[in-house]
Order: sequence, then structure tokens, then C-alpha cells
Amino acid sequence: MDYDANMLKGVVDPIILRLVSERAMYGYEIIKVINERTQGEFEWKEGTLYPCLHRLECAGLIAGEWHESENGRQRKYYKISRKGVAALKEKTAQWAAFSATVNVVLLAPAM
Amino acid sequence: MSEKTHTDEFLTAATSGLKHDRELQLDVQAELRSHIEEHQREAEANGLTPAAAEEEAVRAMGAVADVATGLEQANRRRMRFRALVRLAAQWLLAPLAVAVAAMTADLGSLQALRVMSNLNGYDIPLIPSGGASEDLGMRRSLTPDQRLVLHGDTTKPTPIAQQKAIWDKWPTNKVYLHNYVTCLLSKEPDDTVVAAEITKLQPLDPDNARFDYILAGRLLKEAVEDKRREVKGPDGKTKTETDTVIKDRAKLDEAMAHFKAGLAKPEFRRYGREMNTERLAIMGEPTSLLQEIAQISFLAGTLLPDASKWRDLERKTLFYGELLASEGRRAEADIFLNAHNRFVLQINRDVFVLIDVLVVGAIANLAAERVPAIYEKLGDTAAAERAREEAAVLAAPVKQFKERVKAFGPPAGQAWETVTRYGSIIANMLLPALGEYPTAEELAPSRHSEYVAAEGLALGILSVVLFVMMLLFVFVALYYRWVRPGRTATLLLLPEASEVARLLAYGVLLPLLGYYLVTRWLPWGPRELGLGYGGEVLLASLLTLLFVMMGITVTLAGRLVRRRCQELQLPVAPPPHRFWKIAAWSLIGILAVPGFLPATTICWIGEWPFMQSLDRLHFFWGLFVALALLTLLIRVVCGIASDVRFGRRCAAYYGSLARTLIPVVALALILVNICSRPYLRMEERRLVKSDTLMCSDLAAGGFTGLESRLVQRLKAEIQEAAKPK
Repeated sequence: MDYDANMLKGVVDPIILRLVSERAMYGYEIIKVINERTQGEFEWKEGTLYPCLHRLECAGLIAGEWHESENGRQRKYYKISRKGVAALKEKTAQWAAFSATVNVVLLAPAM
Repeated sequence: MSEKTHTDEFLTAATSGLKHDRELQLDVQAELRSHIEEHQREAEANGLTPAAAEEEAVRAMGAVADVATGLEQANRRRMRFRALVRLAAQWLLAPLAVAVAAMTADLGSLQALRVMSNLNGYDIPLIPSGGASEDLGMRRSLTPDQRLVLHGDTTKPTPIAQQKAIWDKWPTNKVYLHNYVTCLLSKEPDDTVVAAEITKLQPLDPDNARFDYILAGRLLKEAVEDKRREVKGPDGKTKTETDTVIKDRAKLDEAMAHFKAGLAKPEFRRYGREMNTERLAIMGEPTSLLQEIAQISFLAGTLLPDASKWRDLERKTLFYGELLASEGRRAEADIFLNAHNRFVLQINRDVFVLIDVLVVGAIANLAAERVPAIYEKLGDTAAAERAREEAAVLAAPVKQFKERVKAFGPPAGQAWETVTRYGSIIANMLLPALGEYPTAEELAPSRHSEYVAAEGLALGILSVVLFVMMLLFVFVALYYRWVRPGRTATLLLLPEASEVARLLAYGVLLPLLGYYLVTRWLPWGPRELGLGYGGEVLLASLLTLLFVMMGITVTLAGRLVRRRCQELQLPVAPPPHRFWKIAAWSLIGILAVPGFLPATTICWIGEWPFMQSLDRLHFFWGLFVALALLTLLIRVVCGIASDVRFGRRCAAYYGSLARTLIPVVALALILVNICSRPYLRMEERRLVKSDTLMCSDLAAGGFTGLESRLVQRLKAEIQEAAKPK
């Protein structure tokens, strides 16, 4: 399904925060995990992930660190910060309330 | 030259908005490259050709323009902040470091050495009116009146006029009047002028015998002449005897009339102690070694023109008494032959330095030698015996003091040994002649304050070394930028604040803390001996501190830069072989050992048979400096070898290392000065305040606390001995 880009924009940050809160991940891995969990429903242009990551990093919600991977290659891993955990909690609650409210209207039988 | 791949083109375009922050651009390029390459590898694994796989990976990244805009927007704030930090690191930190080092620089230790080398009289440097003097370590302003009392009126042409100006301003003040008289006696070469001025001044202080004795002394110069001749003593040794020849009898009588008048007066006062006390109060309580030494030196330069005349006056008085007796005027003669008791009693009340006491002792000695002989010559054995007993009692205190100096003093006395081993350099210069020896505990504050002053000097040298290091890194950075440039320009890397903090904590704060712990709080006391013995230990610990600080800072910063260059995918040279690292750190370890040892170990080693033929000081200093130079040499040789082997390929790495080390060393320089200087000043102030031996005793007036104690004791003993029985 093709999603409206504006609709996606609002959920990118919580999704990234959620993933890097599970474990430290590098960019390509994040794309792969999203694809895997959404079964390819989100067709992101991979390059657009990095501005999001850098924005979150600049805001102090995540922290990037270079590490050598098991195959000896350097990768930049991101992990959630304490500030990021709080933001994720807040954004998740917001999303739950928002989607529930929207669902009340959108999914309710016509009167 | 290899052609640009799709990936390269994409990366260049995608990060074009970050070109003003080269490090950030390379970082983002490396991150995107790692993503593309991983995607490419997967595509290849799925059966695509390498070229198709690369195209697929680049295409999956999306429109390069969108990525470029997104990256530029996301990093805009970061770039702005980093630009400011880079600006500060590049242009502000190094000048700031130099400014901090210059502002906190303390040349007191150097000045202290200069003053110590001229202890016989320190000219107080001129202190501008209303301004502060750094020269004496005085950090407070002086009022014009204080300045006048301290220096006199410096606009006047001669020292006499300068000192007279103080009295001119306060004409009823006897202290200033006698300060002028003292200066007149010391500096005026024309006796007639002195006599005229003294005659004029005498009515201002009519009860003071000082004027009478000055006039007597001046008249005696014209009245009699001393002729020296050599005679052989009973032991066969040649000694000099003085014959006094009368030139003008009338003047001799007049001189002795003055002397007799002086004896009848209630007091003899020069007010030297009071003048010194006032001047020391203006200088303020010493808070640094320099101030303490400057005050001692100032006191050591106190003019004492009267004391040199007292002995001659006594000799001439005895001569006059003998003359009167030979003329049959026995009653009058007795007054002069016994004048020394009253004379000593009178001047002893005014003595305030050891030299004064020694002159008083010399007068008593002269009386003890001559008066009994004169009475025996006159045939009055009873008077001779009485005079012998009285004079012996009078001379006893100084005689006993001299015997004590001989017994305990240099070159082998145990007390002298205590001072030379446990005392400060200044204590070694001033105390052995006193014959009054303090305990090792009493010697500690002065000794420790010298160590602290030496550390202050070493801190200045450390700042200079760090500054030279900064310059060296500037040259290396320029070398890799202009002389041997690589494919990528050199970078000024900006590590995370936490990494910089860790680097400075390990490279600067921990070594400093370790140094202070070892030098101050080791239970076996590495500073139990004076600098004359413990100087080598101090040198070893300071060199260790310098090399540990430089070694850790450069190693950690080097590691940081190496890792960062690897992240940025810049070619990096392999680290030097482990052997050289181990060798350099082993040498530093060897250098550190003496700093941990008890201070007495160096002395113990110095007493080994094979060391007897060597100069201990030069041997250890040479050894420690050689170890330090060898460590430096290993570092330099490793650096040159790396440059020869990898310099061309890894120019960006070497250049970036040098550029990044400049602000790191600047920060280290700032931190060292900010952390150490206030601590050293505080410690020096505390030690100087707790020093009871070397401080100037304002109340007693001696050059040092110990001398004041001694003078007070001898004065009391002489006073007791001179009391009429």
C-alpha cells in the first residue's frame, strides 16, 4: 500500500527511537528491521533515514558511535539516550491516544 | 588516478551541504558508504554483478538532492556549533593558554634566588606611588607616606637627603631623626659636616648618649693616631699590636669629656629596631618565600655605623684612663678604666642584631684583657683582681656563645649537620653562624617552602615546554599541509567533550594528583631533607611528572585521532613497535623510582665507595636528565621513522594528529596552571606563615626569628652581667 508521506513523517521518529531502544543499530540494519517487521509495507528511500538519524542525534535523543563489526568493517551504531527513552515514552502515549481518537471517528459504523 | 564510482559521486553530492565541516562530511560519507557497500554486498549475493549491485544500492538511497537537503538541514545546528568550537580551538585556545600561563606565572622563585645571592643588603625596589610592587611580592598599594618611610624622598639627589626628607616631614619623630643620623654617619664622607650636623641635632634629643659618643669618636680621630706594629708572642707567633700616639691633647680631653657626658646620660638609642619594625610593617607580613627572603635581606642591609666605632671608643677610653693614671690623676683614671661597665649596660639595651651583641662582647673582652693589666702596672693588685672578675663575667655570655658555635657548628658539629641536612638553603646560609640550633621540626616549614618555590619555578618551565610542544605541532601540521601533503587535507578533529575531559583527566589531573600525593603524603617523607640533598629527588619527580603528562596526553590523543581517522576512512600508519613503547615507558618508570624513595636514600647512595670519587649532585642530575633525553630521543626517532615509512600515504593522519594536538596541549597548559598555581601559592603562604625560624621578628628586630631569639637571650645575659654589683 502507498502511504501518504505526511502521514509517515509523524511516525518516523518514534519508530527509530523504538528500534534503537531495543539494541544499538546501524542505519542499514534499521532499514532492514523496519522492512522485516512491516513486511515491506513502508517503502522508505534508504537515504532519507540518515537525516532523521542525524536530527535525533542533534536533539540528543540518540547517540551514534563507530564500532568495528564482526566482519571487521566500521559501522556507526546508534543507541537511545536517557532523553530519548523519555521522548519515546511520550511519543508512544501520544500515538496511542491519537490513533484511538482517530479510530473512534474513522472506524465507527456510520450513524 | 582511479575514476570516480557511482558511490563516490552519490556521496560527494549527498554531503555537498556539509563541505564547510570537512570532518563531519567525511563522517557522514563514511556512514553512507558503509550502508551502500552493505546493500551492494547483499545484492551481489543475490546474483547481481558488482556494477549492477552498486547501481541498485545507490538507487535504493533515493534522490540525491533529497538526501543532500535532508542532511544539510539535520546537521545545520551541529555544523554551526562545531564551527564555533573549531574557531575557538584553532585561534583562541593557544593564545588563551599563553595568556593564562603568563598571568599566573610566578617569577618569585627566580627573584628569591636573585635576592638570596645578594643577602648582604637588598635594595628595596622602588614602589610607584599608589601602585603595587611585584618585585617584593607586595601585592598591595602603598600610600605616599608609606612610600616615603620605606624609601625616603627619591626625588632628592643623595641618599642622605632622601632619608632626611622623612624626618623633615615628621620633625618631632625621634625614630626618623635617628634614621637620618644613621644615614649621615654611613654615607657622609666629610667628618666636619657630620660633626656640625650632630652638634646641631643634639639638643633635639638631649638625654640620648648617641650624639656624645659620635662627637667623641670624631674628635678622637683628630686627637690620637693608632700605629700598628708586629711583635712576636711567647708562643713564637707574630701578632699585631697597636700603639696609640697623641696628636692633640686638648682634643683628646674634649673627646673624653663628650664620652663621660654620654656615660652620664640615661639612655643610648639609635632607634634602628623601631625604624626596621615600621618598614617591615609597611611591607606587610610575608606571604611568599620571596617576601620572606626580601625582608631578611632588607634587614641584613641595615646600616650599623655606630657599632663599628664602639670598640675603638673603648680602646681609647682605656688608653686615656692609663694616661690619667700615669699623670697621677687616679680618681679620674678610675672612671675611664671602669667605664666599660656603664658603657656596655647602656648600649646593650639598644642592641637588636647579632653583630651588635658581638661588638658588645668585644668591648667586654677588651676590658677583660687590658684593665687588669693596667691596674697591675699601677701596682693595684686588688683593683686588678676586681676588674678581672667583673670583666670576665661581662665577657662570659658572648664567650660562651662563641664556644657553642665552635662546638656545634661547622664543619663537623652535630647541630650544624642537622641544619645542613634538614634545613633550607637560606637556613644553611644564615643559621650555622648562630650556634643556636633548631630541631628538624622547626626547620621543616622553611625547607618545604623552598620546595614549593622550586615547584613554582618548575611549573613555569613546564608551561614553556608545553608551549614549545604546541609550536612543534604547528610546524608538523604545516609540514604535512605544505611540504608533504597527502590526498586529503589535514583536519582539525573535534572529539566529543567527554573524550576531551577523559583525556585531560588521565593526562593532566591524575599525574598532578599522583605527584602531589607522592611528594606530600608518602609516609616515609621524600622531602625530609633540604633542597641541597633532596634536589635530585625533586628533579626526578618533576621530570617524571612532565614525561608522564606529555606521554599520557600524546598517547591518548594519538589513539583518539587514530580511531577517528579510521572511522573517517583515512589511511592510518601502524603504531610504533611495542618494543619502543615499552622502552620509553620503562625509562620514565626508572626516572620515577627516586621520587618514591625516602630522601635519605640519595644520601646513602652518595656515600657508597664508588660514589666518593664522583660529585653526587652532578652524577644524579646528569643521570636523570640523560634518562629524560633518552625517552625524548626514542619518541623523536619513532616519529621520524614513521614519517619516512608512511608519511606520504598517511599525511592526512599525521597532519590531523598534529593539528588536533595543538588545542589539546593548550588545554593541558591551561589546566596545569589553573590547578597548580593557586594550590602552590596557598601552600607557600601557609608554610611561610608557620615558619618561626626564618621569619623576621618585628618585636625583637633580628634578621631572622632564630637570631632574634638568640639576641634576646644574649642581651638578657649581658644585662645581668653588667648590672652594678
